[in-house]
Amino acid sequence: MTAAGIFFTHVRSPRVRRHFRRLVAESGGQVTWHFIFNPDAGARPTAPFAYDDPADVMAGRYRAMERNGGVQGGFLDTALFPVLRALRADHLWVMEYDVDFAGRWGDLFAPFADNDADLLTTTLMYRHQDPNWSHWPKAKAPAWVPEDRMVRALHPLMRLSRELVNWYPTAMADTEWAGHYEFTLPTSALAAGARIEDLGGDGPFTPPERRGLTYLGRTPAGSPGGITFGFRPVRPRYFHEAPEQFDRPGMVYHPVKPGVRAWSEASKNRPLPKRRQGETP
Amino acid sequence: MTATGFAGRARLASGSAPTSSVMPYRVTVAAGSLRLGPAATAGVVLDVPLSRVRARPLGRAGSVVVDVDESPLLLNFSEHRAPADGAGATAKARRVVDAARGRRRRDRFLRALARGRP
Repeated sequence: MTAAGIFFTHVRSPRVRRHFRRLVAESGGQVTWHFIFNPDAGARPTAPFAYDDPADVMAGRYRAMERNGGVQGGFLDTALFPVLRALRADHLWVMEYDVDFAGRWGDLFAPFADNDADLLTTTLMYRHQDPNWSHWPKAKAPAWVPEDRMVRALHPLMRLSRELVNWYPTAMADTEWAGHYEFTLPTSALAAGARIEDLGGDGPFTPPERRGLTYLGRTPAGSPGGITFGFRPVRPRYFHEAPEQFDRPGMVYHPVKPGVRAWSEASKNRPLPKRRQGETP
Repeated sequence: MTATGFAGRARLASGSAPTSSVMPYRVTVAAGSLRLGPAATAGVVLDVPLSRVRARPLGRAGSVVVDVDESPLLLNFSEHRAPADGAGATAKARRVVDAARGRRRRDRFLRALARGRP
């Protein structure tokens, strides 16, 4: 099975570029990576290859994204999927620039090379297992999707099959779907009969052999202490800059913000002054 | 094929522009709804009332643009052989036959949509 990946960033600083170079150097033999730069709130990132018009590929979600004022807050799918479907590989990784790995990147991806899941992502939980998730109030699905099959996730690092890259935009043609793509993607995938697995952690979609591996994050029992992958805490330096600040080897971390303001409703990923983005730690 | 509806297969991709990123789907028009499911699973990708569906034929080889809530989906009901399958007389004849079958399936699909609308 072949694998390609997109490294998605709204920041193109020297520190982010060094992070990308480490990713390619350590896993380029397993995943063909592409640097995707999305400098604004729109859904038309700069890619090193051509891709179809997002307003045509995901027309309904694109209109919803425009009403939202941009991709922030749940509509990044409108930028990701047109780009992903331009790639020719069986499996397609998505990695945001603020994901890091405490180890050699190849060691993270190798165990998944023969995995045939349609969706590998993190922090997957059914609605009843995380009823206080902040994005449930805006989540909406067609009436034929039962509430007990609604799922949430966290997608800064995920892998999709080519099939799912086709199914998801098709599903989203129905405007009865609404809300954050951390809800619409796993829930519509489950309805489509896709194979869904958690990359690790300790949730209902974590295979027994991966329980407690890959990352430590929120579970149906709550947030354990010292989580490596979640909304917070923010780490200011990448692993290659300060490995001593990553105390759990072999785990993925999120978010790492190298001179970048952490996401909030107030900041909406607007850039810091340039001198802060490029500064060395 | 059902008596009043449609049940068949088509290659499908979202958007209105031709793309190689197509996948095979089960396509069903029944009980006033259009239902699409992956050919590879028993799941459902889309299930919408026909009142929210518009369709128009495209080209001569079984393609149709289906608009669901003004989002285009491109379906192709032909036998799915690429033009690169061959340039000889046999390959050409096969493509002609495939296109004709695709057009017939498309016509049945469009009739089912028209009959099923409220």
